[in-house]
Amino acid sequence: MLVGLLYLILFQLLGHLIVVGLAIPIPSPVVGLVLLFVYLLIKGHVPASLLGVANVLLPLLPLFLIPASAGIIQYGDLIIEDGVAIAAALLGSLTISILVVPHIFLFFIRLFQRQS
Amino acid sequence: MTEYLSIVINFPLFGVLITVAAFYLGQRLYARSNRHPVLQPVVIGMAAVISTVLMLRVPYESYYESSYLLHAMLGPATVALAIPLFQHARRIRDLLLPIICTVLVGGAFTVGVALLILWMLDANLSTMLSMPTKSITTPIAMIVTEQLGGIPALSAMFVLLTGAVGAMIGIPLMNRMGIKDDGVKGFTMGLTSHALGTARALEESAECGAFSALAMSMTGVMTAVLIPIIAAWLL
Repeated sequence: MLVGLLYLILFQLLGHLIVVGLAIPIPSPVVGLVLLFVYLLIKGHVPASLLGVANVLLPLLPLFLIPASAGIIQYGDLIIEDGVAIAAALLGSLTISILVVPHIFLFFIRLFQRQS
Repeated sequence: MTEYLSIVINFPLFGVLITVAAFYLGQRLYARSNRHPVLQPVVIGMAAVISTVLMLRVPYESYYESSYLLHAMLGPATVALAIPLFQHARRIRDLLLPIICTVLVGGAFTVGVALLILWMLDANLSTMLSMPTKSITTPIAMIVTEQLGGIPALSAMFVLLTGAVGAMIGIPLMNRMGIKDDGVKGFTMGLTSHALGTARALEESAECGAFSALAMSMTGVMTAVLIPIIAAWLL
């Protein structure tokens, strides 16, 4: 498990080096995710230590989001001013997207299946 | 009494303490309500943290500093999303072209609808500039919003609200529509509701979580690359 955690932090660091080195506006962990994915593809299987640490960390992902998210307490005024528009835009676009995106996906799956 | 309270508030792990306690409370309530979709642990946790911080008059900065340990784990946990992704690599490879097309069309669609509604309701420009990143994971959203000239923290709030509501309504809504494929469900969760949607999708099944993680990372990366380009062209 400890080795698994080392893997994750090292891949994040590798992502960080690439992001800073190439000055690209993508967060280091996302680049680290892609790099680890490629590494696993080459290796062909997930090491047990990585599996162990993923089973611990992934269910806790929402917990790790709380500190940054609580920052909304700093923006009371703007939220009140545009509150109705914000609520309508967020709820409206989200609901419509959840209804539409599965059909877009299924449409493209059928489209490319027919071609192949 | 006030003296003891200030000792507690200034305890270096104060933020970790109340955040973990709040999230645990959220998980207990969620389990006890038989996983009622409105009672997402993260939403209860956030509400509990915010009310505690406001009640004890702790400045947000000092809460953030003393909870940084948890925030820092967001990085390794994001990297760990590569694992469910790899476990479903074969199905993902078979569907690669539909996946790329859906991220582009679906991503543009959800941003377009949101901006249209804001424009119709006459919202502030800074609100509109903070909106396009609403469906992508917080760290990417804040960087892109800064590039656009919006307010990063406001975009973080949009991201959180979108994710929380998406995690609440996504799966039930798709079940009601008769969408049965866990891959399609997960993909929609990740595309519309990023990490919170992915956390909810992981509850459904590993496949659902993998597709959600995939959609989340692809939407995040494509948004980070395309939105600044489109904005430079439009503005």
